[in-house]
Amino acid sequence: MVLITAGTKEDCRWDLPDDLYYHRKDHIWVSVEGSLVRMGLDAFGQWAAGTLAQMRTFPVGRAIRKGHAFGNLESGKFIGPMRSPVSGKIVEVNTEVVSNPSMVNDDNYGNWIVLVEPSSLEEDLADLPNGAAAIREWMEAELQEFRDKDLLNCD
Amino acid sequence: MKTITKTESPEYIQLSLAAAMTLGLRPGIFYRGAKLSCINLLLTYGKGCAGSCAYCGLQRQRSGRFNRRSFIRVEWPTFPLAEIAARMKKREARVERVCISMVTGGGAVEDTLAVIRALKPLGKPVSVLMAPTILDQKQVMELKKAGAGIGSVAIDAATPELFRRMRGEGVGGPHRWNRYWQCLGEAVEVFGPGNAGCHLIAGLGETEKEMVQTMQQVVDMGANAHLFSFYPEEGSVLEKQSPCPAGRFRRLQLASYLIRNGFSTYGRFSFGGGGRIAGFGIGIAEADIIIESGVPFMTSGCPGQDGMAACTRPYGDGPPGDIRSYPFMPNLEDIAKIKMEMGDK
Repeated sequence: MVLITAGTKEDCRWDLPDDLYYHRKDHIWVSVEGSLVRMGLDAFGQWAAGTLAQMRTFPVGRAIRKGHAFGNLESGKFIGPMRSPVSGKIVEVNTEVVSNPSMVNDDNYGNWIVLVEPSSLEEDLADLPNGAAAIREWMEAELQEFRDKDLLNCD
Repeated sequence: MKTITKTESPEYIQLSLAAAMTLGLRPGIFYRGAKLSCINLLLTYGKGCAGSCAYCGLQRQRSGRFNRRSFIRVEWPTFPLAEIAARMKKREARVERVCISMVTGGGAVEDTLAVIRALKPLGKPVSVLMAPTILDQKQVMELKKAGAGIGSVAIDAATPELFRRMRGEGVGGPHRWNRYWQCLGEAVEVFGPGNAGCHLIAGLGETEKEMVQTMQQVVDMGANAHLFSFYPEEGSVLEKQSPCPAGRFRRLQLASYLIRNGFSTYGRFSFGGGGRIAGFGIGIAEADIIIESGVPFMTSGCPGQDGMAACTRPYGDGPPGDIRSYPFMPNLEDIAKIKMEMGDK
């Protein structure tokens, strides 16, 4: 587990398991489970989005491409796509979470969003942060970008 | 004697989700990097607001505790005023203005004065959104004396009949059209021309012509008209009513800008069927330049240090996926969308 912090505030602390892979910008985590991958929103992603009010995903059976949306999410003050870190086909949607997206705010790693059958997994994972050092390096750069844009409300 | 529960004003106060995010009291980042530099506060009472306004999330008939109800579609969390003041001090550079919204009831007048006084050491300009039903001119003067620089009145409905139906007798509410306009006049008199504001909500059932006429009336009185797009609030009487159509709101935003800045007046506008704006009373080339600037479509609100709206109310009158009042300068893509919306049927 990698703990990333910004300032001293209790809620500006984000846990990122080091055995997961991450989409660098949309903060989608990927867990490799045999021949399938499970995906959800990482701790920083759910924090940045705020309390989620709506979530939509493509249906089961839909082919998705790395870097392209497999769905979108919306909170009171934010809306954005969820872009997939890997290519493949959606084999299951967590409908309970999609219907009650604030579940992601409660437990963002437990409440996954889609299960995907990947089509080029090894190649797709190659450029995704994974392991403590890579995750820390990626997140530090990410936080700096937010700081530079004066978007990080952490003391 | 007033019963004070643990979380009532003036010791406690609600603040908008956007203000809470700005002060780091709630997580989240605004869509497209929008910024808010006005901290919007709302008095809070166990008994809630005595109003029954059909479009409002705070109406007294709505179930749930007052401070747990959504208002303008989002949560308004409650915090101790002292904690908010401390946060504002810590983020001094980010905060350019404070706005205190009264509610109708409780000891709202005294409590507003107490909040103004408590925040005075921060040295930030203060606006008050006044509750005319429980306020007289002497008390408006007291608000100014305590430190408020701008006084606003949310008339909201553009015609007397709509006001009656949405806020007055029609919903068993205590508010009266004449008192609201009288209070706006008092605000102009007390705070001075340009330092009084009037909130108007487009899409409650008025025609565009009626809204333009009302905005002109506000400006003629020496107040600023701040336009909001109606968006249904879950749990309110109007929860099933459609939002104000985007095209109508865009035309009214442009009309508001033109009237506010002296480019046109109600008498120069022309209107078609159903009171729809057919002409803005200025040349096509001039209108194009103004539309292309994007400024008329930005949130209209109390100013910050640079004279632009500090009260940007990010996604306050529409969800981020359907922006009504832009909390930032619209980009070229936004302006293309706005132009398309303006020409709707």
